[in-house]
Amino acid sequence: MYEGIKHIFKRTFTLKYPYQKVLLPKGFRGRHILYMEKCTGCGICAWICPERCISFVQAADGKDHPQNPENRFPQYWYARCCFCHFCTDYCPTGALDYSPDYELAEYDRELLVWSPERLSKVPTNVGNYRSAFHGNNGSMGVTYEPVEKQPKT
Amino acid sequence: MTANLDQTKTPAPPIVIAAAKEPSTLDVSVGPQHPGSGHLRMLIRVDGDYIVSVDPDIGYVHRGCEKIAEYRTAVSNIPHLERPCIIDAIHLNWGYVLPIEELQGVVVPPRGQYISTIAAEMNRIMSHLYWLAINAGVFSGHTTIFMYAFGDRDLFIELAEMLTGARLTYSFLPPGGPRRDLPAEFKDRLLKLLDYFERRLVEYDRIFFSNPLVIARAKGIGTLKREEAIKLGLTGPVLRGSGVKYDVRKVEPYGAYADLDFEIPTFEEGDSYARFLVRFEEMKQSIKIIRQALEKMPKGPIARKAPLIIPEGEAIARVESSRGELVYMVKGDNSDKPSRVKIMNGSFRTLIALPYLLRNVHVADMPIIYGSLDYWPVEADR
Repeated sequence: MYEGIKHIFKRTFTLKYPYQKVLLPKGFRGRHILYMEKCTGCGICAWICPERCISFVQAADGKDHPQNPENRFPQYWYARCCFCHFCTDYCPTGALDYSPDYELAEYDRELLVWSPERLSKVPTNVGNYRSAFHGNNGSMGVTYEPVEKQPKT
Repeated sequence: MTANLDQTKTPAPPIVIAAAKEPSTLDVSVGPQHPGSGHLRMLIRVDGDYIVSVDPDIGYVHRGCEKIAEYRTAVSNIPHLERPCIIDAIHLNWGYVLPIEELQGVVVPPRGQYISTIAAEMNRIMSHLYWLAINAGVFSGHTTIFMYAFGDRDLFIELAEMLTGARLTYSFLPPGGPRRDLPAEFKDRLLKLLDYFERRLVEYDRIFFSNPLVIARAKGIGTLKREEAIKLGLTGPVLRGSGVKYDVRKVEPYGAYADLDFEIPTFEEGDSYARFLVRFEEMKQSIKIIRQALEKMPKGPIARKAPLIIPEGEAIARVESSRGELVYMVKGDNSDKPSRVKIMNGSFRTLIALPYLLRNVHVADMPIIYGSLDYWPVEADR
């Protein structure tokens, strides 16, 4: 009885969702951002991807990419992506990044395939965003201890 | 979608529940539509209001995790190997990574061990709160504790999201160490939450564990004696509820558990209520562990760069997950994929207790006994 009366005076926790949005922490694993000026097209992201949702396509932006002579950039299929972001963490050049954009629902299945140009756009609904965790050197934002080289067997 | 109606094939035989041998008994099928925490079918033979025998029918959520693991690389395996018990993701991830680190000869730096320990203990509290809400609260018809426990679980989920970037699908511990350092303000927020949660545990005790209705329903129900529990090979809270002081964190310390001071709560009674109390006390011990780990947190690097291949060999490691001992065997053959991954988890070993416990009890006691085991069918089926 006392518990019930106590709860009448408590404030509500619910948010009116499309109008109010929850504040996401920095480093939230939403959709990816691709920095096309850094990507070399090495393909480690596609190799590490558990869901095999990354394929490599020719960029259609018409710009010259000197670091990527073959003009190959990752394309994401978000119907399969599980947002583990191992691609971001294992990218050797830091060309991928986290973004807090989680509103990825589409009416058309084909719209879930995100081209490199679409990925390279920084989400507008969250402001100018750069995650705090990702270093520019592709070191997963952490400092490593040097490790001895192991002889090949 | 059109159904594949191939008329030439003979139709599958209809499921026939075996005719009761004794005229007074009746066979009832419970499930597989989610009897609680997953898809499990129980064939129950009842005599009036009493259960005569139970035959659990498992395998509805078998997904072949072990076989899939042979086709993915060592790191890519992490997201799908934590799916079987997603509310206990850190433990399932850690157990898989430990043998790989052993094969690769990678030693995680102390700070990384402490961060993993904090994440794992937070996950244990979250998992036990889920159990308290669904398997203890809803199964005993106690709606208030369901709301309370689920509300408090979300506060821990928010902090886990701050640490790992995802609410449940963490994939936080690749070989070499955790992916991220503790964010700024994380320590203060976690300590504040633990203070709040300690006050809430007193309230839980008042509202649920000391509630005469809960005691009347759970005490003396589904008693499992110490010798029986050892003979059945049970682990985790179910074993400790029968008075056996066994915990992998003490027996074979991993992570930072060797440096931390904590107790293993055990209860001698072995009934459903004792198993309830074991998990309640474990949440208190987890608070103690997190506080110590935050205090003793060393400085330095959090991770080492691990090679992307698994060297040739075979390694076994075990961790104490929320549902009992979790054993992983990983076999490598000098390629980027493991040649064999074998999982043995607490839920699978808990399952064998079900036919022993559901014997000569009221039908109404079945949800309480099933809930006290904290059996997770998806984890057991793998």
